[in-house]
Amino acid sequence: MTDVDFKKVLVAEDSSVIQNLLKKILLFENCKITSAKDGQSVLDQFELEEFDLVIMDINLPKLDGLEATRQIRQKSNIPIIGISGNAQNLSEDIFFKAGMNEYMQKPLDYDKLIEWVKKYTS
Amino acid sequence: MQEEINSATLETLLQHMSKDDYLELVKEFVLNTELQLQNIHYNAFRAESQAVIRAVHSIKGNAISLGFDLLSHQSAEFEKALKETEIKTNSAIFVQYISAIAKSIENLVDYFNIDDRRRF
Repeated sequence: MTDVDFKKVLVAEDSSVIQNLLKKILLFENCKITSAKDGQSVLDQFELEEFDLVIMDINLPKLDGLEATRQIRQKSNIPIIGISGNAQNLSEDIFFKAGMNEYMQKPLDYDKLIEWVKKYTS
Repeated sequence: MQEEINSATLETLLQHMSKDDYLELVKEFVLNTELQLQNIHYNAFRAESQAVIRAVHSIKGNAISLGFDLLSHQSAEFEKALKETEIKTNSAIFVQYISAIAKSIENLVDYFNIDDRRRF
């Protein structure tokens, strides 16, 4: 299989365990994963290459996932799926207003996540 | 030990990855959590409460993602206690939480037979 067959997904998550978990799951779905551990790295990576989808944790160091999403939205309509282990009692509106297409709290519903990945990369 | 693991989460994960892949993640989780426990001690002695809370929060999120519900619950209780009150590192409650998490990790190591984790 060549690179052309893969969908390129940028995973923004500061936990290496969850990064690798998502890598393994999405590899099964023919996705090629690039990881970023903080919000600034997301923006830097976004400048370097094109992606089909972003999976964005909210609680990222340096620049949080909401702000990184707002900055991406100034230049791109790429689908963004937000994930968070602690929504800090924020209403779901905030995630969508920042520009996320979908939002999911941890623990992740892996079946639903894959459904969304397929939906937004097909 | 089986009751400490969410069988539904495990079943779902194994639908999307091989058993070997899952075991790799468990090994990484064990090593990562041991490092986080060291971070907790280091930062607690320096009264860096936010760093301690972040480390406990990280253990909680990683544990629930892999189906380790008891460990996630223990971490959630610890995180809640840390946010509600200042806990001294030599207090009984601090030692109790740390010991519970460390014990759960040892149970995982035994259950998944990953004594060779230090080679990774």
